[in-house]
Amino acid sequence: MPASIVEFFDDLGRRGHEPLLARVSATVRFDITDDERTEHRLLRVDHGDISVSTGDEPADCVIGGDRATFDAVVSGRSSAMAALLRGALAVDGDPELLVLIQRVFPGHAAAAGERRSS
Amino acid sequence: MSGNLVQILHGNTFVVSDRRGDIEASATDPTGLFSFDTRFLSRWVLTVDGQRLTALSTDDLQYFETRFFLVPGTGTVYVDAKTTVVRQRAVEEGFREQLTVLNHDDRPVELTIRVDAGSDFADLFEVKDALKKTGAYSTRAEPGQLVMAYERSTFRRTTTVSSTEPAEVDEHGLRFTVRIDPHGSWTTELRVVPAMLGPGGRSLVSRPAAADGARPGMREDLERWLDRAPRLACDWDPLVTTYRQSLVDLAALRFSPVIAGVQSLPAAGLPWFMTMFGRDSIFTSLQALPFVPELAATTLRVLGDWQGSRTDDFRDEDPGRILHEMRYGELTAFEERPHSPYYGNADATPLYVVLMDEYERWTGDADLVREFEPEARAALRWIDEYADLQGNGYIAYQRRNEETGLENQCWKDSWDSISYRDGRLPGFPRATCELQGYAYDAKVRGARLARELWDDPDYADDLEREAADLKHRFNQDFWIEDGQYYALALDADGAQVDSLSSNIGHLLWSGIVDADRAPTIAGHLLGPRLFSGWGVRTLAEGEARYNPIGYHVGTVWPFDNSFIAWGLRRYGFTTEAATVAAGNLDAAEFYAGRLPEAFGGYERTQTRYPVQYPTACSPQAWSTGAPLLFLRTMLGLEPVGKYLAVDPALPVGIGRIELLGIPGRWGRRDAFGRGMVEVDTVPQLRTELGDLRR
Repeated sequence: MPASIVEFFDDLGRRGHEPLLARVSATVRFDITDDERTEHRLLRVDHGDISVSTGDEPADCVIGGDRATFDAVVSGRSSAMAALLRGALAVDGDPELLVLIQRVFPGHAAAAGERRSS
Repeated sequence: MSGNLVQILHGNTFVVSDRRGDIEASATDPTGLFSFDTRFLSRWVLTVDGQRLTALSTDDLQYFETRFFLVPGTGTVYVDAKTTVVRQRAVEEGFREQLTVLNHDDRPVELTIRVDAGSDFADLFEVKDALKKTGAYSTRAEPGQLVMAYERSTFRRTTTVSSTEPAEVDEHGLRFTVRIDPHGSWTTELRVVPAMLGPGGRSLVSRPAAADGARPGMREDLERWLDRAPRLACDWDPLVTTYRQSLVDLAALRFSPVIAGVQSLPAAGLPWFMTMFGRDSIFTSLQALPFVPELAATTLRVLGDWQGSRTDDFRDEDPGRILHEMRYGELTAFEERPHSPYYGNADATPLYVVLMDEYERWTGDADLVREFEPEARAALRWIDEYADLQGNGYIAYQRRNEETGLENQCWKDSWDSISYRDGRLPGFPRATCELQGYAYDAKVRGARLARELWDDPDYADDLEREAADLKHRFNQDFWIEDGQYYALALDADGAQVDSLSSNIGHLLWSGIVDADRAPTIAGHLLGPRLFSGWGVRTLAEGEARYNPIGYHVGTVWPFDNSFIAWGLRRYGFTTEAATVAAGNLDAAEFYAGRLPEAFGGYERTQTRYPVQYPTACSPQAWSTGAPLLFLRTMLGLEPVGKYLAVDPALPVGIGRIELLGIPGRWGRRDAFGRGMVEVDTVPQLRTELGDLRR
């Protein structure tokens, strides 16, 4: 699995609490396919408190796709919704969770930290 | 759209055909079967023994259902009346068409009936802008069904055509060879099913459970919808017609956006905007609150879920920003367009807070307001931290996506909508005046929510202080002394864009107008430069860019007028509010109760009927909602604590309005309004046969 994806989920796990997911209490599993192999990342969210594992357990929402797609999504080159519309991602379970979870992905072509001063 | 076209719709699926029921779409016209912004059928032509048909009549049965009565032959003089063909078509996920052929002869007849089918799978944006496609087409003739497909990498869309009667299927359609007894009939049901496919050929859209082919009780659903809405009784029949049409059109425009489960909210309008728009959904939900409050609940939930969370220049997204527009077609899927979703608007974010407060005041649904507290706070934060592009404390807009983003991010979003008196266009960023009104209102209402529902009085104090400061500054910086009205906008240098426009009416609605200036503003709105007799023009007569059929520079928009009337009412101008309502409702009568998106700004005495704007969308959600808001305004409906206050002020010509069963935190309540003037309500009977008026 590309380092970008590994790092993204590691970083997510280290955050502990993510305010953008304060309304969420659910499990979301990512199935990342690389040729024949599928790796998993299981997010357990409890009112915004996040833990990440590599489990393959049933989840409220399962988001599947190949590693190129996930690489593009976690690095901000592609939006998860657009990937879903073009059939590069598949969603099983509660679709509203995809809408909420995609908040943690970075934006398109925006250099980190580059933001108008407020 | 041409008056010769027939359209039926259900949510964001719609069919546009000619009066025979046929579809022969060219690359750029919006005919065909559309679903989720993709044309799934661009050719659909029925022939009998190789002959095209002629329409005898076309009956719109429901918003989702039409019946075509046809005879073979296209001759203008003689038609063979031995055969009648009836097509009855209903839209659902795709459409189904009951095809019936009647033989009126006393001999049996053998006929070849053929339906040609084809699809160009055009993205609605391609139809709008005449673009070319890059993917591959394929067609499979299978036993009993024709499958048309379009593929581009992992993107896959299909249209499947099938029939309940056996058909010979080839790559261009279905053929039936039938023998019909004397005075007999033959019938089949054709089904057209569009699909958006994901990995493994599974559908991208989760359908409601009842999608097993049985019509999911659309007629019953519509009846329930109408039953649940308040009942209107009135001595002015056109208003009753308009009210019913509004409710039916609102039902038609409901749709469930992909991945929002089965909740529905209003799509913006046919044919280009059958999708979720932040601004349109919020305005329509506000208009409909006293009638169908559940629309507001869905709008708050879905827009809240999709709230911006990051900085994304392609999508003009910021943390806290409420989306502008969601699209589902090919160009969006491949990120050649930014609508997944696109966030480039400057008003939906403050309006989100306005809707949340208004929703709670009507329904008492404190749970939703608490659940979406983080989103409301993020929206309020956006106003100060991301929208102040001029650094002067006002909301302004300037797109960061210069290629496919929107230039004007206010409701008047056409290129020439914001101009100085002399016609020059200001530079960016632009701070239009109504945005400051919305920001003010959002802060005032946000303060109430913070104090009463979020248990945060300090935050409430802050917001109230900010609101007061904003109002004070606004009344200095936007006021045009020599014209005695508020500037349309501040330009990139913070100078006034000095046109007189309908935007000042929204300022009344938001409450940002200093009380001593309100009479002057009301005077402008009802004055000869802005008021046409049918309604308030978007731009005043006399401005350089004024054009009575200019999209945002002279036409009258019913949605705009409904909020202007509400604003007049807020400042106590009851007669003026009723006059604006009456003008628009009179116009509705000319459109059989369905107000278009916009109509011409010509003087009422000049044209005597409201001239429809040439390419206006219809039905359009916020035009559909306008009569509802006019009703609220005329009856003076206002939630006050746990009660519904009623304070009617009816226009001349309406003697009595009764609105029964208004839903809200009070349960259901009735409202009665009587005209201030005694109106002759006796039917126009011949008095010489006996005067009933004694």
